[in-house]
Amino acid sequence: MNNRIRAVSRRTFLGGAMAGAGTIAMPSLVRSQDAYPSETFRVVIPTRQGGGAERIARAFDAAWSQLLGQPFEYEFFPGAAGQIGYEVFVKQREHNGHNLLFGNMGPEMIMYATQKPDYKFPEDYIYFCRTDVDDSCVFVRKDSEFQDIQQVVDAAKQRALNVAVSRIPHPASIGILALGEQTGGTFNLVPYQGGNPTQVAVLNGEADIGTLPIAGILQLGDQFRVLTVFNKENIFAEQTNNAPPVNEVFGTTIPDLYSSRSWAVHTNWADENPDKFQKLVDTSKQVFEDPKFLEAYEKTGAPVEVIKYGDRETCTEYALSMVEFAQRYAEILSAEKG
Amino acid sequence: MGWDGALFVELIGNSFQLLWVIVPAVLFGIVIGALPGFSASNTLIILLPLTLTMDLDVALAFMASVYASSHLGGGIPAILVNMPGDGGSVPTTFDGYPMTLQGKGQQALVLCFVASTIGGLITSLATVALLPYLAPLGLYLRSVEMVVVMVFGLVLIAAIASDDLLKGLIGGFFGLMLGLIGADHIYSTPRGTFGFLELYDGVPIVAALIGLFAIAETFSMVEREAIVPKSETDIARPRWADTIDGLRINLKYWWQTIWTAFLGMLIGIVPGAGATIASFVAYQQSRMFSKTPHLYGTGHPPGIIAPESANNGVTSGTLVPLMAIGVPGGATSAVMMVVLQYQGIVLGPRLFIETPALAYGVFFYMTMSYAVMLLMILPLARYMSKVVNMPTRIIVPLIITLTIIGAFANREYIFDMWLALIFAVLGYLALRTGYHVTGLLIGILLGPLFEQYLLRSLRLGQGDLTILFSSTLANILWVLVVLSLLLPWLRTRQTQRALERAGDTARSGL
Amino acid sequence: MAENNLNSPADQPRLESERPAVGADLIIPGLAVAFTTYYLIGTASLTWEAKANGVVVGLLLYALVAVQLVRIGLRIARRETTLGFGGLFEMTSPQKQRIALVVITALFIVTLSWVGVAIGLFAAMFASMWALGERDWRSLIGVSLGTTATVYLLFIVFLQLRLPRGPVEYVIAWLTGAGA
Repeated sequence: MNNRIRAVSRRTFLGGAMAGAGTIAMPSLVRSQDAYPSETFRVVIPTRQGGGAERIARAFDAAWSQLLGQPFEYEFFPGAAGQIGYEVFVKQREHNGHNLLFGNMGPEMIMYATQKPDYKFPEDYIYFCRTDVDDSCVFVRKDSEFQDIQQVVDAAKQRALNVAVSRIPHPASIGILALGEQTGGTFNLVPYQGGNPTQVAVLNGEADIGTLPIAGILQLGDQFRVLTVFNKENIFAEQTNNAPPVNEVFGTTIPDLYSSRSWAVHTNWADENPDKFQKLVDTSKQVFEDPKFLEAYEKTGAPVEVIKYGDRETCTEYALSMVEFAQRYAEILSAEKG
Repeated sequence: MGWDGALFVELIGNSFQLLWVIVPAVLFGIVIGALPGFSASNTLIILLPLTLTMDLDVALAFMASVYASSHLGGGIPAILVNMPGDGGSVPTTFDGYPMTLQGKGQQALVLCFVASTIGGLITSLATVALLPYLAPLGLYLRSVEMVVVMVFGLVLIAAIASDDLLKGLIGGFFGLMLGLIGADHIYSTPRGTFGFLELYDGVPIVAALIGLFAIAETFSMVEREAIVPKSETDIARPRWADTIDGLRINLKYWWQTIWTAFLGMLIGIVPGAGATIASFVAYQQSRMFSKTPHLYGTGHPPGIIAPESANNGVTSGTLVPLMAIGVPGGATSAVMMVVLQYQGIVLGPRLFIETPALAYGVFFYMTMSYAVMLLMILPLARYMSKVVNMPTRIIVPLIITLTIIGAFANREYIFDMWLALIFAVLGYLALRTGYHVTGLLIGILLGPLFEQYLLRSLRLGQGDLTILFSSTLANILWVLVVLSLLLPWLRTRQTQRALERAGDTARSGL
Repeated sequence: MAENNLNSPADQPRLESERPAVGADLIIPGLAVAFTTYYLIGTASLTWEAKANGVVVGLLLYALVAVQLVRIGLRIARRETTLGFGGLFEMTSPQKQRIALVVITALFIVTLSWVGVAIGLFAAMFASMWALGERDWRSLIGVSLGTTATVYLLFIVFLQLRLPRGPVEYVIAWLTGAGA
């Protein structure tokens, strides 16, 4: 139950007590400041342990840590829809290029727009390496009464359907709201604070349907049925029994709604250290050609097709578009009245 | 099902072969569990780089053993110095610490060890036998049912405050109010945080329990020479007699051990629920069915057995959804999932057909670790219990400094150290003025969980309050809640009447 | 034993002299009401879901405190009790020790970031034991040193906790680093 997890990995453990003591304070005293990277990367993940972000980050680091020559440590801050993670990253972590953040840009930019936290994008941090494009999908459990998305919408016109979502500020949640708006159905969002509990809510039947990024659903294979995706095309047609894209069924104009994880670093550090930053950018791009990454990712059972590189520009554009979305749906997404 | 005699023999053999990793892991887990602020989950994350390089069997045996034994370790400081290591061992302090104060620390430890290990043993064996049937069971307890389960825990606030109900309720409601600090469960908007980022996630449980229980208690300890002065324990040397006495009491309450273990396992199977809920509910249930509810809180053995057996029942239960559905039920199983996925294991229903040795293996290793625990820890009880004879001028500074560091350890915020100190002062004031610290803490621990399930249920009901009474299971549980409030009261009245009648007869006889 | 209905492990039998004065009984309700009021004002602008529990729990808490006030008021009117603080704030020897412990712990937390855990912990242990009346130099130094060394090895070296570092930690790191 306690999710306030302090997470650390890749630290030397059995290297002997003395060796351990030696490595702890070395960076600031012994090692040269010029070489980069010169110490372990410390990564803030603003979602839960065992979630989609960790799955990609660990697979990514299997290749990236070798290209950079330094290991990665992870810390998880799922609280307040990820706000805690970002605030810790911007305010409490040293801006030295060894502190990174690996976040899910979509939901976290929506959170940024609705909660108006005490940091600024892109002034305080920038996303520089998108790792995936994970389309939002609508899914039901295997033995659900709903065979396709048309039946779902028909039912939603009769009664409000309960939809399990990870967070209210999430692209998938916006997708289902938009679907309701354009088809006249009513969807009642129930947030479960994470993909895993959301899946359980659909499995145990307390929610009629669920909507999440598709990779995690496909990972659990035969327990769910995907009914539609919020994208122009369904790249997983084969694994999802040809579930059609949502606009194709209803002639709606719902924009592509996907989750994209990305690495982020402090803006001022990147501006002041262009060479070092370039090294991060170049090596991170290289990872996508490294078989180690794809192998490690494939092992998790999630589909490799979602893996897609995106540079700083792509990330910034996407992030800002999410803010725009959030503002359009501000009233439903925020607890503040009026 | 892929399940046959040969596999059974193979897995037993494997468990014995893996003793080399199980034994040190158990020792390590006990230490981790006993240290406030450390838990199996955050320690296993630190050790992830190590476990990722191990063979899968070895890694699973290691993690299962650390996890299981950490639950046992938490009971030790809870009993001896009123310092619960985590939420799950809080109810252990209710009767464990009073037993220590009565000079029966060693018996209390034995009760805790035996209840923990037996509870853990039978539930992990039961899991092996019933695994495919257990998984769907967890899906029956949904948000609505969990609201009622939470109410079971919350009624303890009223139950333990029998000496001054009003004060007890004020303490409990204050705790509930503090439990509402943090981001709301629907929109993630921070509430009542005084602007502290550190409170966005709610009141950190470790800081609260360290302050309210461990440190607040040291402020009272300073009035004594030792927690238990040597003169009050009849013999200074460690001896077996008390251990045997503890075993005797255990035997007397064998049924209690078994049913609370299964209660813990059931709660463990529900994804998201965990040891804290399980041990509170077990304590509450044990008190409800007891013929002597008024003895709870005074150093009554079942008051130790119930929560300890239950929180060890949770350990095997919590692995069920991970293995059977592929969804981790809690923080520790999330770490295990990372390791399993790293090795390319696809979790879910197919696991039992495709790799039964792996699916069942982890429960065999857990069973083995409980057996190891029992043999290893029992002889140590007689030495551990001597801690309480240490002079307070040494043990009090030790408790304070170690717990303050423990408050930091959980999230690595200096802020949490301050919070622990503030809670200590608050706890001491509550203690001295008769407002229940226990009620306060129950509010802080269970309040946020209750709010989460309640709001979720109300959302699901789309504003209709009757959703809380919409399922048969929930309604049965509601009836039990009402019973659990009435039964102890009726029993106490009955006893009082009997006493009065006895008194009358005695007087009239004179 | 059955008669002794102590329901909280932490419950201490109160001193007889404290009983008549109930002023201290108002501390916790006072804090509770203050916090509840702060909470309710802070969440007033939110939608009902974000504040429903707060409102329900808060109002019940107000009601309970009101009953408590009436109860105390009646007892005062009946001259059964006074509004003093009883023995709670009396400067007895244990009371001075308690205050010393709180102050030492606070100082430990304040200075931790600068002096590091080794020096801070040693000093806090030493000072706390002294405040509680330990005067044997061997115990004072031995226990403080032993605790610090254990914490250093267990928490920092083995469990890799990021406790604040100070001069001692850097020197040890430098020595072992140079040795390696």
